[in-house]
Amino acid sequence: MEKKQGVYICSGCGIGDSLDTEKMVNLAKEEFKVPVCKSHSFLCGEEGVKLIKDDMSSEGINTITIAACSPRVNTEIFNFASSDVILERANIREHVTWVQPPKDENTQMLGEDYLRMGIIRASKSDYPDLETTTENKSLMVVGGGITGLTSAFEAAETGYKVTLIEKGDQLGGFAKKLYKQLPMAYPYNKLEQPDIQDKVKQVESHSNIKVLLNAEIEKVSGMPGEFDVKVKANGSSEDMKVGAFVVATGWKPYDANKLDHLGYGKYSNVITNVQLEEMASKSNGKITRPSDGKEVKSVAFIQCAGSRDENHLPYCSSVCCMTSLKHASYVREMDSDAKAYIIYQDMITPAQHENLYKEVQKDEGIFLTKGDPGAITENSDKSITLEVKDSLLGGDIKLKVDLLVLATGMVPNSPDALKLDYRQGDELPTLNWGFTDSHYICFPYETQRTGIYTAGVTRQPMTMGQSAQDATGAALKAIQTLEMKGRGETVHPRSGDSSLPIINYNICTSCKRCTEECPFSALEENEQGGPIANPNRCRSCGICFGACPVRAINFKNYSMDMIASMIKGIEVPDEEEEKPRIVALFCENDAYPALDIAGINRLKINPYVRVIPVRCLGSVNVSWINDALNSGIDGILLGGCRYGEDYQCHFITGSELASKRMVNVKETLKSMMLEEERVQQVEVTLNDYDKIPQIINDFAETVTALEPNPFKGF
Amino acid sequence: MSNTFLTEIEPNLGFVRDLLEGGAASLESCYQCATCSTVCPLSSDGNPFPRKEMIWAQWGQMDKLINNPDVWLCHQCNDCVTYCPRDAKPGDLMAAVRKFSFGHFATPGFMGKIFQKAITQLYLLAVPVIILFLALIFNNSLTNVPRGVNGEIVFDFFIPTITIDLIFIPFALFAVFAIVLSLRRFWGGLKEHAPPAKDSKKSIVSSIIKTVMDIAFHTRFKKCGTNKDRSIAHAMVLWGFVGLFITTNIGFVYIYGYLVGILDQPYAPPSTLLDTLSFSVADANNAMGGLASHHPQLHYTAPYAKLFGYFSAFLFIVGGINLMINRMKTKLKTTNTTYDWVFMMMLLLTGLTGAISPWLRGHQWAALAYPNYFIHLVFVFYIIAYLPYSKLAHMAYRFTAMVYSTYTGRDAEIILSEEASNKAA
Amino acid sequence: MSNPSGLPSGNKSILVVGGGLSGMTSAIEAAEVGYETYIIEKQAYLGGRVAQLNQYFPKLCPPYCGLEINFRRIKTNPRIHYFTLSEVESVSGEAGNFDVKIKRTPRYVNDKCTACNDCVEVCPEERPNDFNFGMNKTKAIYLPHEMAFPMKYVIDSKYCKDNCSACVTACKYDAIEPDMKAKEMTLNVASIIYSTGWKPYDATKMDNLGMTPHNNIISNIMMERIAAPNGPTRGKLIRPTDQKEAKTIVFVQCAGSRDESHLPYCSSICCMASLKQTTYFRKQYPDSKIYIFYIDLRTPGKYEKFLSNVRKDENVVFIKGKVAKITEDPKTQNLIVEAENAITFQKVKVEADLVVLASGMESSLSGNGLSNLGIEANPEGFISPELQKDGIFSAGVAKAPVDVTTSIQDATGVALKAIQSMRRS
Repeated sequence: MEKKQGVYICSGCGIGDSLDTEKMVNLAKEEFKVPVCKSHSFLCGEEGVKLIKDDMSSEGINTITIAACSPRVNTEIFNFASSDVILERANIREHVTWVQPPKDENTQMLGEDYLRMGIIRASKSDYPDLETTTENKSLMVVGGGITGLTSAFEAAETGYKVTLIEKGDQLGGFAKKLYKQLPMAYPYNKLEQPDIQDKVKQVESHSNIKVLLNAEIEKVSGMPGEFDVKVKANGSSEDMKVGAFVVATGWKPYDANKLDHLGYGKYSNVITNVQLEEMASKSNGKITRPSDGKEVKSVAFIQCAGSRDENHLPYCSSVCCMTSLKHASYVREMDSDAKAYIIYQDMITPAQHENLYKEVQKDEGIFLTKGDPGAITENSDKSITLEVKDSLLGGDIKLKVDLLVLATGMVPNSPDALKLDYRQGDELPTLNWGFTDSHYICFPYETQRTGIYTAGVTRQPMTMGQSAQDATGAALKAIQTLEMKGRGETVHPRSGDSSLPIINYNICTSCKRCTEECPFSALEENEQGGPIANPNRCRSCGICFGACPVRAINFKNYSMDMIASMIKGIEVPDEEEEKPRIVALFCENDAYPALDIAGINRLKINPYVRVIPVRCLGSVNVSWINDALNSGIDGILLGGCRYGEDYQCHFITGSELASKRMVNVKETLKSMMLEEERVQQVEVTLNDYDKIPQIINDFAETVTALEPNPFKGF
Repeated sequence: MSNTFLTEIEPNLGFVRDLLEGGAASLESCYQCATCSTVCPLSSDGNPFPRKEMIWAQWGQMDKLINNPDVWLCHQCNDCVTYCPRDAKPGDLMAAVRKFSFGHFATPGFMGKIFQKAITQLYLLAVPVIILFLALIFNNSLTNVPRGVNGEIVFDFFIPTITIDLIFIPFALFAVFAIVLSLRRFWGGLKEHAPPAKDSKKSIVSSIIKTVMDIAFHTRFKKCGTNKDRSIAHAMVLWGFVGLFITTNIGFVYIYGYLVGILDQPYAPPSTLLDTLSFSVADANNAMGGLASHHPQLHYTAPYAKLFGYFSAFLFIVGGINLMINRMKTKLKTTNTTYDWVFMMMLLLTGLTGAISPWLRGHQWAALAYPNYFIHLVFVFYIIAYLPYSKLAHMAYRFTAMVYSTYTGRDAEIILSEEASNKAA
Repeated sequence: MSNPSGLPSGNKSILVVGGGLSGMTSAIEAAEVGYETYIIEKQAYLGGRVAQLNQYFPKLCPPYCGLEINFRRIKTNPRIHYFTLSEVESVSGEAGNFDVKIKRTPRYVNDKCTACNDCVEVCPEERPNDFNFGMNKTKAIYLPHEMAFPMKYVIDSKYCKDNCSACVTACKYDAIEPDMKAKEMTLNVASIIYSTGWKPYDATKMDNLGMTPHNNIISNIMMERIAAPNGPTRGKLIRPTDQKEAKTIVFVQCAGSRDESHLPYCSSICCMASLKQTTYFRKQYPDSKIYIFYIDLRTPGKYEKFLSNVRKDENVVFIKGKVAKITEDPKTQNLIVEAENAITFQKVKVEADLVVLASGMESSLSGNGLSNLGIEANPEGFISPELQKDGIFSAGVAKAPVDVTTSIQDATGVALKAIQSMRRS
């Protein structure tokens, strides 16, 4: 379809007093031969919007550039973009008028450059074509414990077909071993009879759920909406198609054999909390000494046995305190003269679980103290003596008990249950200690494998109640992926975007950088090693094209050429004018909005900097930096998210990759006989808006301190 | 607290249950936040309480608790109860431990046991009732009680004073003996479980003097925040008690002083106000029957002694009533056991019967005067003979514990944050 | 608002009450599945409590970042509709067909507002800035905060003196309507999610901790504002009374939480919040010293790692013992903080420049009558799981006192439950 451009410049909010908008109108007409170009004093008002709409209908304008406020505001008002209308915004309010002295030559130049870049962006942008694949909207849930059961049930209840895969020969997981379960309802202080059996029945009898026992996945390939799964159930393999996954492979108890310093393995009457639970449920509450089968008169519980310990599990397993409180009540229930001791570091019963602590404490036969376990020895009668250091009773104490229970923690099962046939390995990416937990506080379900969500202790230690809650959320996200992909939209964080990478195989050198660097392993490799796109795994971040050395990957609405042309579009004054030019490539989610807020606070910004928003610093291609330098830009500043351990990049590795690519950049600079300082990457969070002017000015100073870019005017 | 020695801990469940039943019902709710020790206006920086007492109690650590002077430094101001986040009522625990100690240190032991329960200790009223009743029969006061020359009621004809003394004095002496034995064991326990601070240089004498002054003016008790007025009421009771004790002894001295004839005064019947407020012939008559009237030269001595007595009784009764009212008012904070009520009623009734006795006599209301006198004697016996086992023993134990704490210098200096933090780390 | 088509039909849609992070999450997640959702928010902006936080634990990243993403998801998703300054009046009907009456208080600024700020320049009146807990002022017409969404100004009618129409004349876009009236509207929805969140517990209720509006004792949520670059001190860690740099800081854990007289439950977040705020000070003042007084350090799961990192810093001192007394030195305005170290058995006194009370989360529903909301809350003010009914759910802190991540997990799951009951009906 033929593009017809319209440019609309707003003079409201002080823009008119700061910039000569008429001059800008003419610039658009003369430099870019834009057919329709108008200025209005209140573009976001009814009249302004009508002005644009009328032009669209009467003049057939379908490619619109609005030079006004930040694209982050009035989005709902300027909502003309559609499958056949392109809309771009040039931010001449927050990034020009509000941060520059009015009616200044530099301010005018800045405004005009933003207008140029806006027009170029619009003209280089193309209508993304919605790729909707024929969807398989069924789910596969891996793991038949409380989490898996809940995910399966909730998804089925919502009307989706679910296949539930369980490695073992029955459903229920660890919950099946319980004698009693922790309270799930207010007042959260009474132990409950396990209700896992009901959940199992619900699932087994649900018309939307197919249960496969003794089943394991041999291979998963494909992408959301059309995963190919090879399942081995009861010895025989079968292939099936599913749309999305919930992985709830759960946990195993920490290996107590590593806890011989606490007497485990050395003394027969030292057991783990898991062993105690099993004993209680087998014997219906009767707790006996392994050594001689006698009913115990006294039991001590050591909390954090192997948890919160650098040498074992550095994390807290979250449930052990409540479990020991539960176990202590088992002991007391059995014998009203029995004694139960709990030696804790910190009694961790958050939220309303405090009520359980309160209730259990009331029992005069349960003795609690903070303290560190010391020497543990066995007496001739096989009873155990343990020392407790720094107790709350005053100094160190000794206890003699029939049975010592180690409150051991949870270890996530290996994340390879799916056997992913992915370029980047068969495992689900994990964070610390093998948990597949999302790294985002705001987006706990954000995952690196599109359409595959994990829930329960696979993600982090949690109680059964929390697991069930988590499982429901994971089910929603899996369903959501299916629905969004069905509409041809990508999922979080660019949710709603439908642009996908298009690979130009004619120039692709099969260097494999893109397939290696895609944080979501969305790209597989063909025989030549060239990339094969899996559109439904893609998150449209552009990291692949940032990686491509030969500009072979592009999006229709975000391309190599687009950004390059925008950079080239910047008017570069001659050296003697002493007006350096700096391009700032800013992450559109943090650095760019931070600059907006700087504008709202009317902070002053260096006038020689031109900011270009990018989807992610990872999408910044080194060639852009070459282009910039070749066209006489004196310095390039990359502003993106924090990377490293506490990375904030919502495409996981984007800003980190950018920093790695800086190495090549330095080389390029050398080859062009230019100083390294001309290109710099800074970490900017949204809270840094007060620092941004300084960051920019500092960089501008380093750059102006250098000789002007010798390539000016070439 | 020294972290050097390792103590083997074996919780005494029976003891825990005794405390739970003995008034510290919410003891188990404590989660060791130590708010109590900080808000307590009486607890020292070096040896704060009652946080440690709470966990010792939860863990059934009897020896630690009963041999711990801090329990007796608590006047149950109840600031701890007011601010306790778990409603664990540390104040009640301290009281329960004190009560338990009376029983534990009692000599003979069985008396201690009996007095742990409110009801069983009431049975012991039988003892004075029977003894005094026998005295009545012996004196055949049941059939007829002669009057004085002026037809006035003469208690001496009802029960001869000499008889009373012969009954009471031995019991009193035994009580003193018993309490001394108990206190010796108590002191020993304190020395063992709360060893003196190395640098304490106080002499025992100065400690005693300091403690006496402290008790006399309720210096510590007055520090109570939440529950100030109790200290005033308690001081009244204490002073009233002491006053009555003194008055009784003046009478005692007077009476026997008369017998050996060291007093020789012209006789005049009581007529002036002064007469009625002093020990006079009338009293002599009352105490020694007709004898006095044969000595017409006898006149009053011990001027105003009775005024002093009445005043003491007033303090004693008003104070006592205030204490009771206070207990009612604070019943949300303090658990009031029957044990406490019985004890307070005893004291109050002793005071009341004592106070109205001369008055009834004066009005010649024989039908009331004699029984009231009898009851009064019963209560007085109860108080004197059972002092080592009843709650009244707190005078002795608290005194001892306070002397000990002063002597061993448990009130350590304020710790600087640095020091503290090093300890904490 | 966000739906140009004027008032929504509301047919087969989900209503989310509360536009905080969990409310937004439920609405956005359900909308991205493909359902119409409505958000009702009491404040003039979406984002709720997290908008007031400087950083999240344990990543120390700015909540604004997540809000930015969610606001974009809302702006670009036509299925999401939101109403600020709105509250639920009443709920009637049953699952699949609820009629919800909604009261919309006037903003006095209409959608024409471009956020150009001309009105603020001319406004003569000031108001205490509730976004910063009154620690600074704004004009009577103001932008709630820099990330306010929608980016529209609002007039605080309490402080706007009538017939001063300075702003009206200053506004080039006639966006200001001083005579805007409160409106009522009714939404017909299939299911309802309450994500009403929390309010900071009023720390002045703890008289022994001595917090007043005029001293250097502040709550942890105020601390977040002081640390925030858009806070009253622009992120400089200085104390309220004299703008002195705060170098010695005491954190008081469980200030109100785990307390029968205040909040009986544990607020879950305060330990991590204090550890996080510790890093604020240690980063800004390398010579600062931090004392954290606690009962139990509750850093479950991966949070433990954050705790162990803070422990490595020898300028952070942890003391097991709850602060129960804080007094001000009138000369220096420093604070003397007292507690018992339950491990060393000694009282600790720390002199601090600034005291931060880790006061907990109180359900926004506590104290309010819910009868008209068609659902009950438990005595602690939370709509716990068992109280949810078909078609009406609770999410996030409206259900239980939990941290941000857990709230969002919950909100995501609850979105599915809401969809289910909608499909069933």
